[in-house]
Amino acid sequence: MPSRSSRMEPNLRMTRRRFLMGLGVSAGLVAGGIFRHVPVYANAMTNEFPVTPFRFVHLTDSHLGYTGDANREVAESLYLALEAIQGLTPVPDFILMTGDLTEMTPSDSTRKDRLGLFRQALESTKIPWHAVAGEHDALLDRGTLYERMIGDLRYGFSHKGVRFIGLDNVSRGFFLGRDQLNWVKSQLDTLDPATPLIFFCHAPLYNVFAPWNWYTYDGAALRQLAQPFRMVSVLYGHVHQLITCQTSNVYHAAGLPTSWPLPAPGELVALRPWPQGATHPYLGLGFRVVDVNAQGRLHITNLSLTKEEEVYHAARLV
Amino acid sequence: MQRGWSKWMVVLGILVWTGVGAKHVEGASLPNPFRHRVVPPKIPRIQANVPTIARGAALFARACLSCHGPRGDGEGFSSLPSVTVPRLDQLPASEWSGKRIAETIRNGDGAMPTWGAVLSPTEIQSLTLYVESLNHRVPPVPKGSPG
Repeated sequence: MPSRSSRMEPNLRMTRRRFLMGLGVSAGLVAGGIFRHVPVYANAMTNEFPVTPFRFVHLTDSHLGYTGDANREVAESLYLALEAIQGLTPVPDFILMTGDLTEMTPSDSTRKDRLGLFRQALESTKIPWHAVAGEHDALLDRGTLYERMIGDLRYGFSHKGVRFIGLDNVSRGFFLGRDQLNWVKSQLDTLDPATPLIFFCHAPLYNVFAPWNWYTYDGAALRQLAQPFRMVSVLYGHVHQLITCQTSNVYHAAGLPTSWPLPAPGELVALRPWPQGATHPYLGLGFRVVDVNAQGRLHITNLSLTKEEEVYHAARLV
Repeated sequence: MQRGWSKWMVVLGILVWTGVGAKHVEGASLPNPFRHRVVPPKIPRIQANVPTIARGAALFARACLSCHGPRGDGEGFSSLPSVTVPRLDQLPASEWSGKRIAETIRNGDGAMPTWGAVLSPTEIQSLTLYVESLNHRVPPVPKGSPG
């Protein structure tokens, strides 16, 4: 039976001499630096937008001012988290808070005090921070006091090559609204689609479970606006548990609360938290460390407040 | 000779049965026993800008059910502290006209969202019709009527 090489065209047949000649040419190209350009080019294709690696922390749902069985010391839980954040190495560039800083109250003065307490707690860490409102902070007065005490309800900022956009999907109801969608469009129009985008908001931008208000009515319209972008992530709170989901090009990730955990969605029953356990008071509570690499990808590590269970959830590269 | 004729008759029969060469008829893609020429008249679609109770019901399930409950009786699945969700199935007609219901949906009130920022006027009108339909309002009895 003729060998495979002998069945080939005579000028394609691999001989010992040709093999050695090819080896020599390849070695020459490598020595001349021609092959060295290849990985550089590949890197340029995946990383058109320069990102300097950095770390930030995602904190959510502290509900300062709450009194009840779900968490008997909400302020203590927040301080535990802040203490742990201060102890991180390297220290995060900033803290991102995704809403429900305070527990809802009909009294404007109480709300103002609670928002002030939150501000004081975060400022004590000496770490820069950014926040968006939750419905507990902003629904009753349409965010008036929140704007005065904390800052804008919606805004954007860039950090080391990543664009962050804070959204308000709570102050008038669980939606973004036409005005805000136009504002987001104007923000995105100025950006290169290679720019890594991180939206942060309180309620999820897809339908997690509408009967519990775990959704944004017009979230699909925003996801449509983000369609041209390659790396889009949404960090949110509201659901008081770790939930992740991929919709088209958007990765959604809910963070651990510092207040109390809530049941998994799906049961058509009234949403109620469990009473805080005596043996595991911080079960289901924590925060999230996000390391952004040079490609703009997120390496997420969720940390529990429970000391004996330090890494609550496996690190994940998004 | 006769055998040749019968062969052609069979071929012709198959062509007729399968409808080869026939003009297009409704349901022509169906097998012959089910083919029919009687086409039911198309149901006229309601225009998108006309408010309807059915559209209101669909919107209610998406936007209102969580707080007001599936029946609109205030027994929702999601609650907020210090917020009492009103029943929508017992709205007194004297206080809650269609106009006032629509205004409340549009502009909100307290914890009630300002749906006008996201819903169209037709959608708000549809929701209003649906909320009105939840209330079994007794039509006013004309004066002097028997009984």
